[in-house]
Amino acid sequence: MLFFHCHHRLKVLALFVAVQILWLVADTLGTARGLAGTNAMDLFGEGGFALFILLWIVFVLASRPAGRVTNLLFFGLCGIFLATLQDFADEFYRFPDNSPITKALESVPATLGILVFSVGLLGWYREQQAFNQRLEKREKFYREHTSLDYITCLYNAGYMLQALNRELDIYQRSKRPLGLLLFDIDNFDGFNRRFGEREGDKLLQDCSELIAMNLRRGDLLCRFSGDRFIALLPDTHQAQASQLAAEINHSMASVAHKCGEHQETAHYTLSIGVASARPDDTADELIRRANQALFHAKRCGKNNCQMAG
Amino acid sequence: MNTNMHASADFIDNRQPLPAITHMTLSLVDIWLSLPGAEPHRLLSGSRIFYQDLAKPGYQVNCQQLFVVVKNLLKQPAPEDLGFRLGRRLAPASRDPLNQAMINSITTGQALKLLHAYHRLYSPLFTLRRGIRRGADSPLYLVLSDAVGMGEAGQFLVEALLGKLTGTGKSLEMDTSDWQYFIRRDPPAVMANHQKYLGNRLVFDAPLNGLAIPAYQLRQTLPGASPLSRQQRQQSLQQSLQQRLLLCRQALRGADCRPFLPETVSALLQASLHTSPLGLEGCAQALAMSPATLKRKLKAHNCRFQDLADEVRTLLALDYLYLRGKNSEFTARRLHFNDTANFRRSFKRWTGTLPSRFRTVATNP
Repeated sequence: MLFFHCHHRLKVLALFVAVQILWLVADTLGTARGLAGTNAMDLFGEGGFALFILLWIVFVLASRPAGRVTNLLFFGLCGIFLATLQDFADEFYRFPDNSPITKALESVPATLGILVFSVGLLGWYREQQAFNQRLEKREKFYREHTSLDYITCLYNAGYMLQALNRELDIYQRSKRPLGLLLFDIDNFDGFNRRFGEREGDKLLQDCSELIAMNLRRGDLLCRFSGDRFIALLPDTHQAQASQLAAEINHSMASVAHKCGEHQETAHYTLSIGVASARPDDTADELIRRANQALFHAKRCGKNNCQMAG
Repeated sequence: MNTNMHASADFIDNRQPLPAITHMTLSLVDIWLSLPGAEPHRLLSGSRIFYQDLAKPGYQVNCQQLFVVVKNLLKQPAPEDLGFRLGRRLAPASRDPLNQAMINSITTGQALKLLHAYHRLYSPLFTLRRGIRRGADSPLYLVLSDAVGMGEAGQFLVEALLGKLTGTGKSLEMDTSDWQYFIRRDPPAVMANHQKYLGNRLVFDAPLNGLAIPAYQLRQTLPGASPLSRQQRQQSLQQSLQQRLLLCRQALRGADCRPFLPETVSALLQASLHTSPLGLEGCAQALAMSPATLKRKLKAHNCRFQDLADEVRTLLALDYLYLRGKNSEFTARRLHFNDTANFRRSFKRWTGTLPSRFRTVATNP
C-alpha cells in the first residue's frame, strides 16, 4: 500500500494511536450520556472543527516535503486536533469534574499545539523568504550573465568587450591588423519621438540586419548601446574597414524604411566611426578612439564615415 | 501646529504631487511598456499608483512614488540604459517656457545661465549649482546635488538628468562630445551606455555629480540664420526672451516650484557657512520647528542633517581648492576648521581622497 511507503507513516501511526488512547481514556473515565444528552449544534460545530483540522493535517503532509518545518506544523496541528477531539468526546461522555486527567486533556494539548504550530509557521515563513532570495539571486545572475540583446538578437557590449580583448591579444602576438566600426543611427531620438519606441525597436532590427548583411563571414556585429552598433573586423586594414563602412552607408541610403501606422516611407542614415588597433592598445582605448571618430562624423554633417586620427 | 503651518509655506515635502514628477513617471512607464513582455504592475507595485489612474486627466504623482517606481525598475531584468533613455525623452519639451527662453537667447552661455537660474523648472529633483569661472577660458562647471533625498533611486535619476542635459545641449546644437562628465560612482564594467549617451570624457569616482562645458562653446551664438540677419533679429529676440522669462518667473512663483525640505536646509547651511555655520538647532529655528521635528522630517526624506552639512562643506571646499586654486590652509580656515590636519581628515571622509589631489588638477588642468 502507498501509505506504508510514504515518509510520514510513523507520524500518521502516532496520531492514530493517540486518537485511540484518547477515546479509550474517555471511555474509561466518563459515563456515556446517550443520545438524549447531546446538543446537535455543539456536535456539528465541534465535529466540523475537528474534521477541518484533520483536513489541514492531510494537506500539510501531502503538499510539503518532509523536514523539520513539516514536523512542527504536523505536531502542532495534532495537538489542536486532539484538543478538539476531546471537546467532541465531551458531547458523548460525562466526565468527573475534578479528575486531573480530564483537566490536563482539556488545556495542555491545545496550548502546546498552537505553540508548536506557531513555531512551524515561523519556519515556513523563513523558508519562503530564503526561497525568494534564491530566486532573486538566480534572476540577477541570469541578467548579469546574459550576453544577448533581445531586441536585435545580437550580442551585447559586454560580450563585445570580451571578444575585443581576445582579438587584441591575438593582434599583439601576430600583428595581423584589427579594425573596429562604430555605427550610430542619425536622428534616432527624433524617430523615436515621431513613431514611438516600438517602431524604434523595429528600425534597430532592420538596421542590424542590413549591417550584418554587408559584413564578411569572420566579422562580429554587436549592439553597443541604444541605437549604436559595433563591428569587430579581424584581419582588416583601416582602408578596408572604411571601404566596408562606405558600402554600409551606401546600402543604408538606398533602403526605404516603412514606419508607423500608415507605413510611411522614411530614409535613415548612419554615421560611422572607424578605428584600427595600435600596438599596446587596450579595449577601452580602441573603443574610445572609434567613439571620437564617430563624434567627428556627426560633426561633419552625419551620414558619413570618419577614421580615427 | 501653528509653527508647522508657517514653515510649510516655504518648502514642500516629498509627498507633494507635482506635474513635473508625474511627467517623469509617465515617460518612465511608457518606456517600460515598450519593452517586450513588460507588464505595468511589476513597475507600479508598492507605489500606490494604479495603472488605470495614470491616464486620467489631472492625476498627479509625488516624488516618493516615483522613487518606488525607479526602485522596482532596477530590480527588473531591463536594459541598463533606461535612465539615459528617460533623460533623452524628457529633454526637448518645446512647449515649456524655459526651453523657449533658451532657444531665444543669443549665446549658448546665456542659454545655460537661464538653465541654471530656472533649474527648478528644468529638474525639480536636483539643485543645479554653477562653479565660479576664474577667467574667460575656464569651463563652466554645473554641479548636480540631490534636492529631495532620492536614496537608492539616486544613481538612476542622475543618469536621467545627465542624459537630459546632453539632450538639451544637442537641441541647442552644442558639441556635447567635448563635455566632461563627473559621476559619483565606481566605473561600470561595461561603459557602453555612458559612452553612447554622454561621450568619451567621463570621470568616475568623482566627489560629486556634475559636468564641465568648455569655454569656447559658451561664446558660440545659437544656430539660426546668418550672423547679419541674426543681428537684425537681435532686438526682437531680446523682446521675445523677456516675454519667455516673464513666463518662467511666473511658473517659478507657482505653488509647485517651492524647494524641497533638504534643499531648503542645504541653502540655509550654505548661506551660513560664510559667517557662522548653523547647527541642527539653528536650522530648526530658522525653519520654525523643533530640532526633533526637523530630524524626523529629514529622515522621511532619506537623509540626515550631518550628510547635508558635509555635502555643503564638500562643495565649498572643492570650490576653493579646485576652481579658485587656494591651498588647504586657506580652505580649512574658511570652513571654520581649527587646523589643517583636521580638515584633511574630514575631506578624506567626504570625498575618499585628500585635498591635494584636487589642487594638482587645478594648477595643471
